[in-house]
Amino acid sequence: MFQEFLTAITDILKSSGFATSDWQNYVMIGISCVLLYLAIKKQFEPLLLLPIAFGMLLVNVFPGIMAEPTAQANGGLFYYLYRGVKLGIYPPLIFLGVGAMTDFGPLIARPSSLLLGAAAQLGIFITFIGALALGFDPKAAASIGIIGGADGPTAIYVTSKLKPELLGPIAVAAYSYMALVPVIQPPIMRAMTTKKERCIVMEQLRPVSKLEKIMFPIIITVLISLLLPDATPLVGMLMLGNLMRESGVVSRLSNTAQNELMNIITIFLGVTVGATATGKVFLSSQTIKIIVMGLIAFCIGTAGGVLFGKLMCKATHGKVNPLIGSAGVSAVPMAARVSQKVGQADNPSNFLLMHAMGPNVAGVIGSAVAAGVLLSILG
Amino acid sequence: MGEMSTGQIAIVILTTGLVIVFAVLVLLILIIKLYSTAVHTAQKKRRGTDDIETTVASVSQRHSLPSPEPVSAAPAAANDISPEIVTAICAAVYALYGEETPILSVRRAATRTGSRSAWRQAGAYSNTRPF
Repeated sequence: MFQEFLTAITDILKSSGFATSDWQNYVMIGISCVLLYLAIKKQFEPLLLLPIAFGMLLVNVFPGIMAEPTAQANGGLFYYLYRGVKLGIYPPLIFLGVGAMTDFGPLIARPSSLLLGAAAQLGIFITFIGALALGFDPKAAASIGIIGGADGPTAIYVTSKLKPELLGPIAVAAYSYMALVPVIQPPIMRAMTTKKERCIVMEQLRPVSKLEKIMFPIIITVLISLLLPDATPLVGMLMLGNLMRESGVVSRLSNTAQNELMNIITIFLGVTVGATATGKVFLSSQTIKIIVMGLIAFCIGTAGGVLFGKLMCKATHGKVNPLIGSAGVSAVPMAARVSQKVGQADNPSNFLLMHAMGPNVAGVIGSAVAAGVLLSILG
Repeated sequence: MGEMSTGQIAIVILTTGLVIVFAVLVLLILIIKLYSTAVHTAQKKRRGTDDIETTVASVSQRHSLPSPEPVSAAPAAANDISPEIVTAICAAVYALYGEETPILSVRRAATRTGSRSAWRQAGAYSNTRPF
């Protein structure tokens, strides 16, 4: 009987994580703890980084949580939840909530902000070239380049379609850099502008009527979907959310999209994306390259937006403050707040926030269009 | 794509991507400006018609009624609110809603004891809502 007791204990120990894990799992557990610290203590995009970090922790203590189903057993919990990522369901649903929370009024009042949103996508394509030069294949390079769009759902959507194996490191890189926008952008903005340019006070935006705000999502959806069908899931859901908000007749749906739906999808997306970050994928020189290229993409995107802002400043004879160009990366609303803060540092009476919101939300559309281009060429 | 070299792929994606992104967004700019102008013009015409009707009605009223007292330009404000704050509130309402929204009075909101102020709650909500 004692022998059987020992055998049972031994069998349990043999099947435990301590016997089946290797050094990579323990390193990833350490990394996930660091990310949890950054999310909780430093508040680096906690709403996504916390579930991502915990998903990473879970898959490295119990790899079976992502196991595929076999003839004998069902798949792991996250295997089924991950279907939403793999099939491209979660990112468009996130965009539905984003659209319901976004006010496109500043963009409609000054449509030229769309050009700043376009210029800020320069980082995506330049980084694509850099990633190709480092030896990544075109699909991987596109997935890395899309980090420069500073748009988490778009980065996850493109990567899940083109290179799902890189989802873990790309998602962690994308959301970490989005949290670091207030650190990364200001030095680039100050280096590329003069004090005189930073002090430019812009004219107040015209009021935008409700009818214009209602027509906007319908027109954008029809146009972009006809031109770039691959961008339809993202742009269509973004505009559906916005239409629900602006119509004013479906406030229950709009509230659900902004709150409950966003929260549920954020949890599922975060944990399952984090659960793709196994030691084998994450602990490689490839991940370091992705992290470095992601940073470069971000910086080039910011620089591209500021440069175009300077061009618009010259073209309008000083009516446009170039600082709003950096808000063309789609980290809404952080990038717009950064423009406000940097502008106010030189001119305390300068309120650039609403002017910067135009390029900021234009960047969301711009990154979705860029994603559509990459998917249609490489998908 | 399979037959092209890495360099060729890079050039094709860079040029195609930037050209298409800019072209699509320039087209969006033109369409937004077009429909904004159309909506603006239509609403202006309607406002013009409403103004004419209002003027006709007021002229006919003036003939039958004594002229009303002139409306005070400044809204009635509670004694403990400074004129500067009233001015700032009026400017904010004008910026948001335009001329159509007259401000009749400004008064302090009821203060709650033992809970966070509305501003702090709004700030906390704004910083913690998901995106």
